[in-house]
Amino acid sequence: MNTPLRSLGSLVSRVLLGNRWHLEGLAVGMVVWGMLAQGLGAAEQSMGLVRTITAGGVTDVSVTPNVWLFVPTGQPPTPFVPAGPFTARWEGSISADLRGDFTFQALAQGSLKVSVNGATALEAKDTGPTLAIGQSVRLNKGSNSFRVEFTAPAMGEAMVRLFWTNRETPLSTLPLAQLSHEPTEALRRSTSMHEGRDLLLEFRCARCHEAPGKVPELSMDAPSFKGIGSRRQVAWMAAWIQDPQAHRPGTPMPAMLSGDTAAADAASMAAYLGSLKGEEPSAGQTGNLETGKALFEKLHCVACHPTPGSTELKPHQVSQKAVNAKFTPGALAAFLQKPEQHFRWIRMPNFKLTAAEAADLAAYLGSAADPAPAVDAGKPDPAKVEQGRKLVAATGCLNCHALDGVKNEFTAKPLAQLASTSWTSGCLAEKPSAGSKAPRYTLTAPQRAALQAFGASDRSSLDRSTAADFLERQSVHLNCRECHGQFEGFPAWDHLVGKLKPEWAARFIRGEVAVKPRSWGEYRMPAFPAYAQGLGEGLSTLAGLPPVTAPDPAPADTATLAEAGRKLAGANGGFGCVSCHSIGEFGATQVFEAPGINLATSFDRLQPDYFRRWLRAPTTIDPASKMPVYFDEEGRSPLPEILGGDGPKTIQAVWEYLRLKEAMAKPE
Amino acid sequence: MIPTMMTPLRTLASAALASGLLVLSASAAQPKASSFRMLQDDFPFQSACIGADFPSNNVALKGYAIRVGNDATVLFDSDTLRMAAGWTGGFINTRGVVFDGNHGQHPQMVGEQKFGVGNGPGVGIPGKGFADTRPEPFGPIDKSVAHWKGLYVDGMDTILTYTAGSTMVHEKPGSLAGPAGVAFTRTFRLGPPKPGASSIGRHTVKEAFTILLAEVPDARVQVGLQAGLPALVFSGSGDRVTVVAGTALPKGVELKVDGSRAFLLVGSGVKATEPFKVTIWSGPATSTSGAIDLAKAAPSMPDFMKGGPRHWPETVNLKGRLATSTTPDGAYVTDSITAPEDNPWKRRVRFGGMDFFSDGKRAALCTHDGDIWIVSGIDDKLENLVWSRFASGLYEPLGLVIVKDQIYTSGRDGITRFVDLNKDGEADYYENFNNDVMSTRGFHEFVFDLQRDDAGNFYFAKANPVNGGGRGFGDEKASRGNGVVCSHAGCLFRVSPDGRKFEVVARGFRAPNGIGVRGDGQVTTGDNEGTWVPTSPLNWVDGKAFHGVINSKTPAGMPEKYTPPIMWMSHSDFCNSNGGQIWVTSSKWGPFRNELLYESYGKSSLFLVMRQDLGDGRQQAAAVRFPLKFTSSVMRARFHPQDGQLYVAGLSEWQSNAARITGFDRVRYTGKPVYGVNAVKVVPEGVELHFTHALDKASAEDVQNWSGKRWNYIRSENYGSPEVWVSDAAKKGRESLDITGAKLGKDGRSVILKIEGLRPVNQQSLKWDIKAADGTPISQEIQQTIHEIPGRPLSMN
Repeated sequence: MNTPLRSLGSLVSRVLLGNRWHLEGLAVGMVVWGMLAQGLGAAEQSMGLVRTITAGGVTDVSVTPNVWLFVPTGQPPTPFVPAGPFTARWEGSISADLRGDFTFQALAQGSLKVSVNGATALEAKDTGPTLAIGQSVRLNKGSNSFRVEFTAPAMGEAMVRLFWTNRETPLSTLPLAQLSHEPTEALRRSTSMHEGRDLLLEFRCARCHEAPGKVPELSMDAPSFKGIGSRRQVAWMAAWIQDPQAHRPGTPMPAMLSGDTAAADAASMAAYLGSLKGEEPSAGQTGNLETGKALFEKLHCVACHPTPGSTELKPHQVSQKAVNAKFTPGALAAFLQKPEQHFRWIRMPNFKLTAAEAADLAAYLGSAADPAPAVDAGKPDPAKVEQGRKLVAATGCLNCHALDGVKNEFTAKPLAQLASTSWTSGCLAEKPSAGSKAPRYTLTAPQRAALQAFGASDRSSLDRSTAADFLERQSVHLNCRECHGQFEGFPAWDHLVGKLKPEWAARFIRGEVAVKPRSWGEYRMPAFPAYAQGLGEGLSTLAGLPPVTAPDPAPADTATLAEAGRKLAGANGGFGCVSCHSIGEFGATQVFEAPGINLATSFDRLQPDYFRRWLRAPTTIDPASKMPVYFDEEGRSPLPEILGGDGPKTIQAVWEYLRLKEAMAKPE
Repeated sequence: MIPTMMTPLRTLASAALASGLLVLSASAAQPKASSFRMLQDDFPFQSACIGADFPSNNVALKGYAIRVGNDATVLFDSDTLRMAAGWTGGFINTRGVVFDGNHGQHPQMVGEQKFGVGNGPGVGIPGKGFADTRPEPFGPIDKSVAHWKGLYVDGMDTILTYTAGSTMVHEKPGSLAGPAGVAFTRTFRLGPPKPGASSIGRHTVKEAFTILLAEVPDARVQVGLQAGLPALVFSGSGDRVTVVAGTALPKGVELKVDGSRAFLLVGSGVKATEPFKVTIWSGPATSTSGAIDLAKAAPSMPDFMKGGPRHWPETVNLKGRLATSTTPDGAYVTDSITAPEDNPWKRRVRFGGMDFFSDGKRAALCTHDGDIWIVSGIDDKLENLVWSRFASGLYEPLGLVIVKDQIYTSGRDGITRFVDLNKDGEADYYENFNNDVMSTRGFHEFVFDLQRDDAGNFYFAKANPVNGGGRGFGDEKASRGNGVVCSHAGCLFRVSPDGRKFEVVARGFRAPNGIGVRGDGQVTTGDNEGTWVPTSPLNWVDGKAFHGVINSKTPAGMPEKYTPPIMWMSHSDFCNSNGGQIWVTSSKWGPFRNELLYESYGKSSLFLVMRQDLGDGRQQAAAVRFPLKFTSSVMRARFHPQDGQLYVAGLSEWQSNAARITGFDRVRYTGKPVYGVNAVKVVPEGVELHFTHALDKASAEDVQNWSGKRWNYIRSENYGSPEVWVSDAAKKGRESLDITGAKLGKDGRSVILKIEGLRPVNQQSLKWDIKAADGTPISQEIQQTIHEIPGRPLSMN
């Protein structure tokens, strides 16, 4: 298994599915690998719509989960076209269960035209905050051709958010499962180029081949060498340096050594690195293996790691069988407590483990891992160490790995000087020539093709970045969907897009939110500090919402509405929200299998638009939700004595009550 | 280096979502006062599972907290006939599911406890102590020793009635206050009840019995006369003593001591002509003589047989509302019979049972909160609804039936029958009709519904003691208030017309909030998603089937007899929590005579059940919703004895989309034609649907107008089930049906849908948007269960 499966996986997912969107309950991996088995040409209808964006004479084609777009002033709509006036077009099919009449509605800055089966369903321009409502259109059962054209305004921000409704569906975003497209040749070409850019970032090509740009990952680091001798075992480092792929298929770490001296050179480099002592991990406490095992299960570590002792390794999983050989005593527990301490962009998140929990997990992982080889306690040969130092300086390690006091002597041509015609040799050679100093990446043919496609582009996309692009890329690398949508109790990934306020999402992903929203779950949302800001913003902009929550001033009658909201939340003449939801310090009264999130946190967490749609019809968003639907088909509240039963006012009243956050008064 | 995109933004995303909403005119009702009066100081008792402070774990499982005056309370357990405790300075707290809503606790005494008697029988046979011979420590004790008969309410007096041996005992708990503080009294009257004064006539005790009075551990006891009264004085360490004194004890009635227990011995041959009493007092030793002074007062017993005065002379007068919702074809409308949510007593009103008196002008409704209300003025216009209170203090009644104009309720303590002795509109005698059902401390051991068959048998069901939070049963370690699994947990019961015979008819339910009984005794039940219940079922009870919910008392071999329900309904869109079922017995209610209706508590909906006979007593069924709106949930239904219309009552506590806490609605057939499906049959090529009207051929035969999905459930110990693919249970969700054709039958009213790959499945939904021959649109959705495909060899099923 020397193929870098993980990267190939994401490549195939882009090329074949054209995106990372999937149905809840349908593992992405299954689709990806099922389709891989059929060959690259066997693609059929795939989820999502093909989006074509043209700006400044450049066209970009990709797949998006919906007709959503948000482009802040002065930003490009995608990294692959320049900023400035643009047009966007979404194409594919929209399916209906039953022949029926639907109405499309939209918010748009810019001008928008929605067509179904060739007929215009909606035309809208610069709607501001008022939904434009289209004329009723007939959808046939099954697929209907669907096309949306959008022209961005000449100046200012551009945005599109499309909704639909029919007799039985309240206003909702278009369900991903009902949008599909047929991959086109243009899409394949475009997504291959996108994937090449992704690989370039992932393999940190620009750390050697200098490339100025604005994509966050251009500055992505690698494990620091500072004090690494206190954290990693020398023998393991030697083996790793010599052949990283053998240890972890798919690692972006290339083999830098080749030829007869490779083993000796690797040993010298490891000896040198071993001499770089830092803070010694404390021997710490001895962990409890059983507790650690329970913790491994509770925290769903299996999303990214195989169950210790198991021989099965899924493409996205990282084996832990070498932990005894790799970590110095105590270093594993220290690593588990703060994975990002020496590697800011590490994918392993921070679970905020206590020292005891880290020790328990380390004990469990150690118990199932291969035994550690005997450690050579002798003092390393100074000559060997010095030789290692020279090699580390000369081989290119320091392009990615930080180390003070040693001058990096490895140079490579800046990316701009690498003509696309040369992207078949060096790092990208199909077969590295003997004696080549180029890093060896064991790239697959599609990966090389993707990189070459990117090389053949104008590469200006490195100088442009959008949060949505970052989110789409990193949510795959970080395996977000391996938990969200897979495990009971986790909000499904697709529901998160457009749900959370970006500020709160970023704080939450950064690990800065002290109150656990789903307090009843044994799992924990771990922190991804380096990624948090981009993911938080991306969850909004991908959904056509701004990266900074739009102002939501309280209406003049907020106090009256909040008091009505308090009544609505109560069990006495209200919806009885308090049966399942705690409100600040007031505990939920009658939780039955379906505890709800503390409502004092909701205002900070939820996008107002999401909240309105959720309260109106929760099962339209999440069919498995136990939250009751209170409003009737016309959206009326069943409580006429509160605000006359006016649906939007009733929902606004609850929102005004939520606005009080911790100051929410006790409901009845 | 992360892009922050801090560009100033306009308020696009905060846009209020416009929608064309109609605004209902505000009703006259004002927002209600905030606090309910869960406990009443103008009524003498509250029944519940109630705890006292000592002896340890002293809990009256079918307890009556009885106000005895002087701010004192006694606690009586009707299962064991035990006066479990007495205390001063308060009543009970409001912990518990029908009080403050707590899941996992029950009320506890409030005040200073003066005496207590631990769990176990309170009446015994001389020489045999107070042995508990029950197989499980729940339910009534050996009836030949003692048995609960009921209680009389007379103003603020409560008269407990039970047999001891063959003797009928009437006991009035009371209190006396003086310088020595408050003393508790138990005044006894032996012999059958007789109207007129408190005189007994003459009664001779045939079988001797004993009555437990107090337990005072680690105390010395002094036996003898105190100021002329026979008395027991218990003194332990410290200054406190407990005095038990007898007043006017007939010859052969004696105070006795057995270790730490004080009891009353009533010997055989005792001739009782007047009431006698026992006084129990606890206080400082120096006040002993004061206590005896209190005890000297002559015993008295009110003339409880004459019926007491009214507690609630006021009425709540309301107007109903007509046509609050209508089906699209106009054939059915709902009328709302406004509930007395706003009432002078601040009682919470949550209807759990309902039936009509024979004149049809009045109905009686019980509330989960323990009251019975009677409403009159049920007529075409509903303009003069008059609500009055009939009874109170009941232990969570969730079923009510009227037999020969007499009200019966089912509650946690069994079936109670109510007698209005003086015909003043309030119950005076709360008679134990049958109390064989066991009850433990579990907050979730609801007793559901009360129905009768034509032979007069009564039926009701009992939930399992679901743990707080919803998973598993009877985890007493996690919380005592979870209760324990007893052998009646999750069972359906039949009680003979005379109330004497009680039997378990079916097992394996979780929380069957509602049953249905056809005249011939055919019983159906719903059940509630949770442990072992993947989603809402409709169970067909044949006396043999096990219905699936396994607990620690499930008899060996039972789980193997599991029979799936005739129909499942998806918890996400059809029913997450059931109500009762009712057979259409009325010929005035449209075209559904003899069909079965299903009520949903969770979705506040009414469904028509369309059954398909598979032979050998097996069936499969489909459901379609009546598109009506109800005031609250739909939980209990009756056909009116005169107008033939359907009336439904319901409540909302949790996991229901009902917005109001209670409702009482009429589903009225307007006489207009009904447009919709009325029969569903699985046939070898697909599904045959039969409609009430001739259909438009073009629209009926266009497959574009039909769609469907299917999915399975996983029955397990887990709470409910996800919906999973039929082709791969590892995948969550629903798979689309491949409907390849729609063919109108020769009768013009039926359509055969051809379904590619038709197969047995837990749940299949079908949706259509077609037209009747006269152009009326018919847009409906059904959910069905396919156990087998008739006409296809079983091997192909």
